Amino acid sequence: MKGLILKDLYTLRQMGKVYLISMVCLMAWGMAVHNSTMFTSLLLVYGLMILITTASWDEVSHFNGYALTFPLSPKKLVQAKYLFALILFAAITVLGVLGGFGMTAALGAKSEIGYGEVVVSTLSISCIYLMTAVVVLPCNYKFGVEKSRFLFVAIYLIIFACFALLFSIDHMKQWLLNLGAREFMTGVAVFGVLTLLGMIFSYRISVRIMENREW
Amino acid sequence: MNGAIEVRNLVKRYPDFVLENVSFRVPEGSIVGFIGENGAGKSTTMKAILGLIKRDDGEISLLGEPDGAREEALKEQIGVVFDENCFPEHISREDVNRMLKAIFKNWQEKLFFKLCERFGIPGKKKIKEYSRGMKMKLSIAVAMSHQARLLILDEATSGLDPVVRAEILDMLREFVMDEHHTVFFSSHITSDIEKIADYILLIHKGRILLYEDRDTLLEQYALVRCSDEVAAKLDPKTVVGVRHGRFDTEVLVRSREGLKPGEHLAVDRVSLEDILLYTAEKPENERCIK
Repeated sequence: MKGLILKDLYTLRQMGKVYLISMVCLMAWGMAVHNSTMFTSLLLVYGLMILITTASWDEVSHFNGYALTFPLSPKKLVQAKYLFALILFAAITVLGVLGGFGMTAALGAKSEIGYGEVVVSTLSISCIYLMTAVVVLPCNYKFGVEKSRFLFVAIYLIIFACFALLFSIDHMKQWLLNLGAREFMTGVAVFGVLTLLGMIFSYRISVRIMENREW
Repeated sequence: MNGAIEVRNLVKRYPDFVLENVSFRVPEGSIVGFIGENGAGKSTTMKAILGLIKRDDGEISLLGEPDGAREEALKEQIGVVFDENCFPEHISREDVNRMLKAIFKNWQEKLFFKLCERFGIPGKKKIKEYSRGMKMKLSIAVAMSHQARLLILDEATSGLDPVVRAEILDMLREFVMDEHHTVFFSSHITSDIEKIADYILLIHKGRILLYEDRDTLLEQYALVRCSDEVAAKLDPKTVVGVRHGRFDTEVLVRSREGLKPGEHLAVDRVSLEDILLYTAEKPENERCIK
């Protein structure tokens, strides 16, 4: 598995500079608008982009079929990809918290959000990343990366539509806006648990897909 | 002697193609050339051997291990080369080394770099900057750098120039100098197979038509040029294929026994390409060359 993760990291090297520059620009933007949530939100996008990009390169080079001629099983290939997704999850969370703390500290009183909000928003974003990865990964294995990109976009459109619908209903909107910190944290915790369960379920589906697939 | 590869009654069905009761044995220490026209079933057979596709019936044993033996342990001893580079193109040979060191228990880093130097595979460049020949040589260097006992190559020399192909064939000859090393490779460049193979396995439309020692094959088979009347008198059991030309008829026969070259009959040596051409044509159709 280590070898497979190394492969993904090496393939990302060429994009490393681009991502670094983008993050610096986002931080500058966050400082300008006194809010770090844009930075954290776009970390989610980068995390997903990286995950999909590495899968895409594997597909283009037909690496997975070749890798199965190494002492690797389909299960190990899937494990490596999910572990990589978790590594990205950790990276998004750590970068989001550190970046958010840094900007909040730099902005001082001008910051629109506090340290607690940085942590909560980062964790929420990280969970959304993971929840998307949970859907995207088995779709990549089943349909290929290009088709699953459409699915990925469709998922976000559906989620956005659901939220738009909720906010269009007055009493729902009031309820959501008046949520206390305790209820909100409970919601985040439930979302976290669902994400974890989703991850396990998604992993098992991916293993089954890969074990039944022919190359 | 154990078989490095033993295939018994392999069957694989697709909607428009069937691999039908394929059986053969690749002796340890030999080079077996696997030939057939495009779509004959070479890659399907190889993928079934490697476990990349599920078979509908049959048994396959590799390196003396029974069918169903621990795959991962077996794969340590098998080196595979496909007809294209399968590494992501943004990595270098050093990255490949580090990656495979973590995957193969018996990865030989020094040998890998020695082979890369010998093949002229550049150090710092990314794979996307390599020529096609270099990419193929990288794959071969990888296949030979983890103490593999069996090399399986699927059209590995396709699209390569004669110089690179000759280099690769030399490498394969060197590899089997160890009597426990075996090479099983498929190609439709029959001249490559003719140069180094000990045995020839020919597949046509999903069925094995021929499995023979190369020298015996090339000595026994013959190309007879004669008139239609003389061709009609040849023993049908020995006739593999017939071509009618404007001036004469060419008949590929399995045995040159009893054939006497004379005024009305010329007997020529055959090449593997001739055997493939005549065998791949439908026996009931005779192709006319106008």
